Amino acid sequence: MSATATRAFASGGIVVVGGGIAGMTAAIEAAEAGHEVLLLEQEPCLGGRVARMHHYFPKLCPPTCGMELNLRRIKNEKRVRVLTGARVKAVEGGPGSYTLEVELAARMVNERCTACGKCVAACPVERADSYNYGIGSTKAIYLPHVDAFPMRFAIDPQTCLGESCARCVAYCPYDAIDLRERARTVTIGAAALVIATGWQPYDARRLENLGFGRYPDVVNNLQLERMASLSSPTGGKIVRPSDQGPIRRAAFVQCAGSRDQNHLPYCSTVCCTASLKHASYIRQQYPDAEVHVFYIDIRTMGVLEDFAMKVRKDEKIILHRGKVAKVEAEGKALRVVAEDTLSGERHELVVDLCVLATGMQAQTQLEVRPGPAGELPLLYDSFGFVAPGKRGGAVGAGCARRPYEAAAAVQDATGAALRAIQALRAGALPRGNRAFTAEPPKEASKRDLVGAAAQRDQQHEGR
Amino acid sequence: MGEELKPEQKPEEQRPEPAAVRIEPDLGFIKQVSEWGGGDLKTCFQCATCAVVCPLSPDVNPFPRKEVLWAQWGLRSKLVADPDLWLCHRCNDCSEHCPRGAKTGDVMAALRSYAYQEHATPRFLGRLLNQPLALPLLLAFPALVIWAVITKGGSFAIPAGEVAGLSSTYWGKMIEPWPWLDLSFIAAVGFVLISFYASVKKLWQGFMASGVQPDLKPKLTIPQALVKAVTDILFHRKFAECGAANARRSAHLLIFFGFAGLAVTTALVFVGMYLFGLKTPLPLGHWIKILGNASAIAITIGLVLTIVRRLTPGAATVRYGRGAYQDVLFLGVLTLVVATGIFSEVFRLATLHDLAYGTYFLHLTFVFFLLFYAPFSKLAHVVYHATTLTWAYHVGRALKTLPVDARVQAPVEAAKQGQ
Repeated sequence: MSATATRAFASGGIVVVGGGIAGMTAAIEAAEAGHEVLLLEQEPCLGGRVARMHHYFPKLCPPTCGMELNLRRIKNEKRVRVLTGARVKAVEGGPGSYTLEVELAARMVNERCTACGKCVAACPVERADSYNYGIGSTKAIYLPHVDAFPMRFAIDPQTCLGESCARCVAYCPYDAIDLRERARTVTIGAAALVIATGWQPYDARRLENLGFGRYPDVVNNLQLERMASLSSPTGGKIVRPSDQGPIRRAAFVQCAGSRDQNHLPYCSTVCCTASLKHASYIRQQYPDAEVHVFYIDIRTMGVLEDFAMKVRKDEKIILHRGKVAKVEAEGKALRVVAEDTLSGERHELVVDLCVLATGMQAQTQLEVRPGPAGELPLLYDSFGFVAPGKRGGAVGAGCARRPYEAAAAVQDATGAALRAIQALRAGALPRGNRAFTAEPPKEASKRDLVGAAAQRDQQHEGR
Repeated sequence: MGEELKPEQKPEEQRPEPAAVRIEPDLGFIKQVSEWGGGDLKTCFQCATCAVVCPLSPDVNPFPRKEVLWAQWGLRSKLVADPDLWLCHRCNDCSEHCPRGAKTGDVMAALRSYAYQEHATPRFLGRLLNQPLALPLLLAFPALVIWAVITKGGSFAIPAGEVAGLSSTYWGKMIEPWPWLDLSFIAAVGFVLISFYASVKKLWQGFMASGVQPDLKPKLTIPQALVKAVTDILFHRKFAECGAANARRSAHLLIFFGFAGLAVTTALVFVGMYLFGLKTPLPLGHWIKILGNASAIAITIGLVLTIVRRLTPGAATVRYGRGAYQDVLFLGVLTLVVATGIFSEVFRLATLHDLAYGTYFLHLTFVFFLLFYAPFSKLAHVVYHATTLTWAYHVGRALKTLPVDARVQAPVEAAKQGQ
């Protein structure tokens, strides 16, 4: 297949980059307001990080709530088209006329797949399960997760042995596997852009004194959240990764990489509430376990304060004011060291599990190509988050803009959809002359999309 | 923090109504410490990373977090009596790990600069040593003493006539009333000893009353503690535990043993001259001369390493700290002592007599400076660190007092009681 350069949208379309909860929200909100939207997601399925969670705080309900609702809306809304495995490599242009260079990954499994799973038994190679943050592994051909959208297997080209093996092809009853498929790059045009590229946990291996990557029982908060989810490899049981043993005592290290000039200089805002939520998970599973939370400040803002107070009522959730600065092996367990600044004593605590409340970092910084006058289509701030630009047209949404908890990210995405629509309607008119002069957006025909492969995806995923 | 502010724990600020707790910040103190390189104290948000990464900090009331807090609050008297200032070896692990980018090691050094001044007996000399403007005055005093001794015997002129390069009266020709010179140095040593005695007594009493170590029951007798402290210092054991500035250990060892070697050489020559009729300058092959020259080489290497590291910009500035005035002064004078000493010998052997005599005059001046101002300058760190380490072993502050299991269990109990 050749890399066909096609302009997918005429000036009327909004492209949303990132299919997590924020991107999904922005896409569906804009589409329901009457605009053509293309949603790009680099993973093989939608849902981003929220889909992998166990519970939202403060209500402690599973993420299927908002997630399922959004998915249903996307499935029913004809104006949203979804491309998975689509990674934006570069952005150029300006309001009214953006061009995105997009790499479409080789999924090697087409829409005929029914997710029957016969291929899995045939596949001889394993890969670390990135969807589960490295907890457990999958075969090279895998279903991203049980509720994946699209519900279709994917092949990891890095691990797959290729056509020389091809056992899965023989096992597939639906002729859904094409090992000859290759990644290709296409160009997509857009009138307005929503950047919802989300966040990633700060790489805790860089916090050398905290032992992440050195000791298997030092995990980050995302791994713990994933472990607690019913769809995780442990079936929702929180265990010591080293030996699947029970948790008798756990320590949480707050501000692991946040509020630190050597790492992330800002507060990630959600880790305090998240850790208290995680502490309650552990306490629910282990009635005798002790949970120690080491903090600089407990920052549970707004209504979350009430949640924090409820969790803190548990006598076995013990908070210490002082940052853990050393994690070492103590036999088969771990020893965490911190000064309790309220008592002025240095504590050494032996624990089964040490959870680093790693900070939120912008996941991706898209390559932006300056226009003829040197103007950039999109601005990033010094922390790597999408900054508000001087001209509308490219709008940040959710955690691409700043650290947010899920609910706030959703609200922010709704706002971003409105901003994108405003920019779209204003067109390329000069500032101050925008109001009421814009024409309604042109409907982009489906044929304008990205060529045959994209249409195939769109037929399957757009419903 | 409550317990540190209870009036009964601060005897020097006892108040009649024990219920009231008043913090009286000494703003001048904060300003002073900031000027001496401790300006970063204001950036601290009390996360206590420093107190954990510090390899030398005890478990109870560890440092340096509490010192930074006290400095922020301007609690001058608590800091002056704080033994932990002297348990700190400026490893700078705290500076390297500080999430606020504060140079905590430099704050501790600035606090020590302040403490030298406060412990000084008489105190005005401590103030002068911290005052760059007073340096000419401070230098003039030893120069005058040496000049007075030399001119007493005749003139300040370079000795006339033939002088043999290896003559046994080489320096004696310059300073004829040699015993006068020795007497002036002996007087200086006496003054220094008395001053140190008073300071050390004040220091020890301050430690006992500081409340930093709640359990003051002796764990070792003072002689036992002294032996442990001295062997620690000889082997630089505490330095060996340092993380970030671990490389300083070898440089400090060279300076330490070079300095000690030169002091021993001087003492041996003194005793030899008066009791055994030893003639100076000694031939190069004499064992005392070999000791002296070897010590000079050792201290030179140590000083060069130290100065180069201090002057290297970038990461080294955090790792080895930025010298405050007291550090620079001490390092400078020590370097001058060594340099003038070496050059006196070189010029003498090269029979460049004019240069040799002039350099020797400077050498004597700087040696007198170093010796006479020892209790008020950074050289006092030798005595203060040794005293503090002895005290710390005596009351168990330098020992791991609790077995690991107890330390592990304690927080759970403590936290339960606290809730």
